[in-house]
Amino acid sequence: MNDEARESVRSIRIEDEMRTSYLDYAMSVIVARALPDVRDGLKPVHRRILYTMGEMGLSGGSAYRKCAAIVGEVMGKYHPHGDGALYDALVRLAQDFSMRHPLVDQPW
Amino acid sequence: MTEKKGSAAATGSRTKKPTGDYGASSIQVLEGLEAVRKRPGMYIGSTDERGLHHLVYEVVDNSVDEAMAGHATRIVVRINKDNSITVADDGRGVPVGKHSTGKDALEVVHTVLHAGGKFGGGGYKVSGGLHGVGVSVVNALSIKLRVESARDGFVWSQEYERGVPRTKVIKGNPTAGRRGTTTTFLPDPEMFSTTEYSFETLANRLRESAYLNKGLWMTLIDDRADREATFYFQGGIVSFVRHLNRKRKVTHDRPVYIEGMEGTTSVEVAFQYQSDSWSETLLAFANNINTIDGGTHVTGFRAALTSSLNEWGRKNGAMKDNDPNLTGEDVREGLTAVISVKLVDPQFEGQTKAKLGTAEIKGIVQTAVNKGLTQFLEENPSDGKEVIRQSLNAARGREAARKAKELVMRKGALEGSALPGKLADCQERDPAKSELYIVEGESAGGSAKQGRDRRFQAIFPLRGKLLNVEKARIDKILGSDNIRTLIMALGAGIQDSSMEDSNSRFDITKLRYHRVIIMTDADVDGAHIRTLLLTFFYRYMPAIIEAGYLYIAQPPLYRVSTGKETKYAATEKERDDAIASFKTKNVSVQRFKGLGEMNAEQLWETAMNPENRVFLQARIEDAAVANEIFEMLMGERVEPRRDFIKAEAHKVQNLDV
Repeated sequence: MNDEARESVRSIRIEDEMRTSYLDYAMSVIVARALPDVRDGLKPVHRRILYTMGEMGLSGGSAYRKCAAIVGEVMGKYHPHGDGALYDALVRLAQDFSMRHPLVDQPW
Repeated sequence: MTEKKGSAAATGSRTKKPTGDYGASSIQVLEGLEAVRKRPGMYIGSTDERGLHHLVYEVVDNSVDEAMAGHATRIVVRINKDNSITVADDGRGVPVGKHSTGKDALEVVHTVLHAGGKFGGGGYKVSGGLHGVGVSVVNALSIKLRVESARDGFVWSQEYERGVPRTKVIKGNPTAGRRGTTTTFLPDPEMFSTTEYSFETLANRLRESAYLNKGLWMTLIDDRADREATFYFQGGIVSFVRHLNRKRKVTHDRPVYIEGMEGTTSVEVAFQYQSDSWSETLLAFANNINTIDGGTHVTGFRAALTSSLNEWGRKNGAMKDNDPNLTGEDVREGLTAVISVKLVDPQFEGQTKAKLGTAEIKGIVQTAVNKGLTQFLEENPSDGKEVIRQSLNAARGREAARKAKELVMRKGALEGSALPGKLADCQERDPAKSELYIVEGESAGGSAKQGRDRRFQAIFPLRGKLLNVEKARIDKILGSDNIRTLIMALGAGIQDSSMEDSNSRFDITKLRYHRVIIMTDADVDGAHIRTLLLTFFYRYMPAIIEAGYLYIAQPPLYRVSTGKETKYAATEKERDDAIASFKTKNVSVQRFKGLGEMNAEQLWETAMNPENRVFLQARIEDAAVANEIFEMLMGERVEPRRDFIKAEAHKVQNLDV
């Protein structure tokens, strides 16, 4: 190879890179994404949604707000991912066929 | 290698150049082992971890050659506390006594290049060593090397420093019945970027050697950590095939084993079909050397496999009259095979012995496999039928995929001169100077586009996560927008077994960039996308990795600044060092969650500017291990993956909560 101006290139075995990268991803998903916490039964997305709604002053007696407003707030403050996933998580919390006791109310 | 210098001298003496003094006096001839220390890469490939381990293989292979000749049964490799290595065997011992050059034979073997007993002088019938350089090279690259040869009733020893004898050959104690060679060497840290040996790497290699030489005991002892492993396989390559298939669902229980002998050449083949993945795992060896690029022994095996299965299938009624003949592709699907040939004077293509070139081998292997396989099929018709059934299924699946693919192709998926709109190309047209950054997400793509040096850096933004190609058939893969446009941007097509006939096969000469850089966010989703991209390249463009064109960028995790001065750090330790180096309390530390959080200038400064950036170059060291890892992590089956996560969970490095 060319000897001049060697920049820093280290070589890495592809299987080692696969192992560490995959393990980082898989463990993070398991610990902080896919499984509900034993303390409150919530996944991080749901917890972030409920917390944000609390901060926004939404409670039993308050007026209904648009989904998009809540999604935007959560995404901006706590959840650095796409809006689609957030929206779906929020909707689920309001479905009486998904939740025995829906945690979010809907206006119809 | 020296001819080049000769021709340069001829032109150099005639043309007068103002700069320097390039005349006859500037032509150097490197004496003996000096050449090895000057250009170690030529002899051991590289001076990184790989080269370091190669030293051990050179010494071990000499012992294995003793075993192949039937003189050694036990080889012990010991990693000592100071990372020196001791290799001991119970072979005949290196010859001692006055050699015609005036020196002792033992010293000649260890200090003279191209000296050895493997040039057909009667000492060895077949051997992996060809050039007689191995142990001399190890000697030259070691601070200290000590060899003991127990033979003719006494232990003879000699010590060297960087290849130079420090003592004469000393006649020591009587052997008391022991014989063999013991070599201890300490690699020179001046020559290697690392001198830390890996237990796993050595164990993998020793296991492989033990498989190929049935009845040979291989022991690896790690004195640094009190670990030990011993490999011994009565079944030889049959055990090897079982090992390769141990996590897969096999089509027939007993691997097929074929043995053949013609003149001085011996052929051993073992194979078994599995139905867990479509891929083929084929490992071929010539005199224990892994010929990763195949060669005549592989060609012979494939030809025999296809013709024997077809012939038997027709005769036996396992294939109906209107079934088409099985092609080489069909019978390869799900095949796990190990081929080992041992021959006198093997011809290899290329310096790395990656391909066997000896022409007669093709016929010898073909005859042996034809005979052995026909016999196996006659004796085990139910296994044969299962294999034929699987191959016919493969043929049908391939046909369906081909049709689906043609549909995609007809729409001009991979052709056409137009580059995909997502790609921000560079101005440079010479692939050797061009770089392609594959970045995660449109926003990071935006920063990268602004920050790059557009003369030679191109940017390709991915949208969302890439399809896992390990779990998808080719038609679905080509249907993925991300993948199709990426293939078009690279411009070299893809390598796929079903594409054998079409003109869109992978052609590395058409590759538009000789640096393909994966630059994903420094978070766990970035890690995931990296694994998906690596899987894609490994399965469909392995030539890019083999050529060393695939890199992984290392964007920093932290930015440490005092307002006046700014430093970047990739690890927590580097961050703390940077904070300490400022000596003021007013330091602000920022952690980047993704590339999108950096502005264009920061991205250029840290990850893209050739002066500062750090790249990891991906390489495939052990094809069998790599294949297994991809299958386990990305493949269809869940259990092996779950077991892996359970077993390795405590090793996790970055948890993103």
